[in-house]
Amino acid sequence: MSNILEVHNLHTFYGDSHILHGISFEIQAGETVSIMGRNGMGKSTTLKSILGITPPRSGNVIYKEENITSLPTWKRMQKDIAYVPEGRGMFHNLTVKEHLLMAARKNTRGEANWTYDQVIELFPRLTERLTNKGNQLSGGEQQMLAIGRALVTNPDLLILDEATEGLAPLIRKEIWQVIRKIKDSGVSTIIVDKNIKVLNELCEKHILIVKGKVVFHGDSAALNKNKGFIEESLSV
Amino acid sequence: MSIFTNKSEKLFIFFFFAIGLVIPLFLADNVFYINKISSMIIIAIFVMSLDYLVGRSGLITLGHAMFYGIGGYIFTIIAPEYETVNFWIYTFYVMSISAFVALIVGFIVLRTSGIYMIMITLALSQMCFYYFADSVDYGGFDGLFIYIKPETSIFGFNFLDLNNESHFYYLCLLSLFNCFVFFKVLMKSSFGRVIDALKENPERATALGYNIFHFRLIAYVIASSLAAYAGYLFALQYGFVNPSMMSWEVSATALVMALLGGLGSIYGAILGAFAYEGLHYVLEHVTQYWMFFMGCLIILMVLTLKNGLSGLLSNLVGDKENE
Repeated sequence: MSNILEVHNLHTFYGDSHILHGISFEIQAGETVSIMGRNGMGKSTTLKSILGITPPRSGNVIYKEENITSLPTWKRMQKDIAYVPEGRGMFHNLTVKEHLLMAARKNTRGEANWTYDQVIELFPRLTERLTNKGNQLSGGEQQMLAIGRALVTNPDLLILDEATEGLAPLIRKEIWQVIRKIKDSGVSTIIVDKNIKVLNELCEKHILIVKGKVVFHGDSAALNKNKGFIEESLSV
Repeated sequence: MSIFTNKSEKLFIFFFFAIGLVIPLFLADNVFYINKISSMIIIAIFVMSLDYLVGRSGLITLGHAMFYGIGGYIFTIIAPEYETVNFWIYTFYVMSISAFVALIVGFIVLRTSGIYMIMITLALSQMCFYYFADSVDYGGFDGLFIYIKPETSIFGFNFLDLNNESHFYYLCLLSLFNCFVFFKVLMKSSFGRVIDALKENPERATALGYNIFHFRLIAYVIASSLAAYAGYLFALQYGFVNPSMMSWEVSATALVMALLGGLGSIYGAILGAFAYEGLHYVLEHVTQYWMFFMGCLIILMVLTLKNGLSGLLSNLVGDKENE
């Protein structure tokens, strides 16, 4: 299977602070990969560097065999990458329906595997909130909308940053079920989260970042073998 | 799909245009008031274009009057001095040329944002102001005159005589209605939704794959060419153009009108322009210190009215929050 994403030796800075110290990993097409780590270790910065939101000072991002390191964020996203940011990034002046219609587009191959109707079907809760503005939704509904908004762009690579953070257990369960469905649809996914148990079950590959460096990179079997070390790295 | 956002907007537009249609019948003998209302409508078109930029696109400019002036100047410069030209053809020329100018200006100013954008738009409009003010060819501070008004025939059928005040009034009213519908359709389109999203959270919109610069540039070109159209109408009404049309005071006053009407509501631009101009007219006939009282009233209204006069109307009608 070919790699959909290759990240080579990323070094990213915030001002003078060196945040990412040579992050490297790759993701195969159709694979679901978790990125774990404590707060402030560089997980979100890694995602932002991949997307060009926080461009790295050195290193390369290869997406579908094309070096996209120098491309602006919007051009990268138009190559069928979707991002669900930490904090959800709702537009308070748009309704639920407008969020989905505004983001909807076919992918670069002209396919629309995820349509507005399919997303609404995936999140029946949103049906009752179609005329609500982005700030008139609960945290869980916002997260559903953020995922739905990413799906209607028909991505080949979906990036979820802290998908279940701050949500009630029942809502979390619902979100994880949806992510499972997305995985089954064949979309390559990167998930940043702290729930090892669910990630272990859901993802084929796991990456652990500590102080801006990849300290573990392996499949679920390797994760289970190193569970003690990983749990220790994640504990506060 | 309705173009109206809420009940108050629907009611206002219905009553405004219904009254607007019959007003000349009652003021047939009073040309002054017909001219006065025509000029208020022209200002409303200009304020509407600014409201789309500031209120919907989040692009705060103090140089919008530059396009208002440019619209008038383009017509007086390109139209033959003593020949009757066609209004619609010259509307196309004026808007196309001003759109081209806006494309170049927008390419420069949209690389900045916030206070820097305010400063650069102000600087460019003042440059334009002094260029025309110092230009002997374009009449300096006196400006240029329009000796013959255009005719409005379409396929040989001439239904409006622009020398007739009532006819000109109806042309202005039709233009305002078209502008309103155009902006509302634009706001409901995919383009409009992206523009709304850009205003709220540009980084997030970028992360959805939208090039914010391109979208903002298109919004800037649209708003600027409509401001130029308003300037063209102004020039036709008064029969002259001069640099004062593009002074920064004109931009600032339009911004006050947009704020007064309620930023981003589009129909608020009509409310703001009519409220400001109406107050101006009444107060200047009451006291020589009208500017002082005008200032006090505007400060009071901006401070007390959430979302301006359109917000007040919305509260009175009882619009739901989601509308």
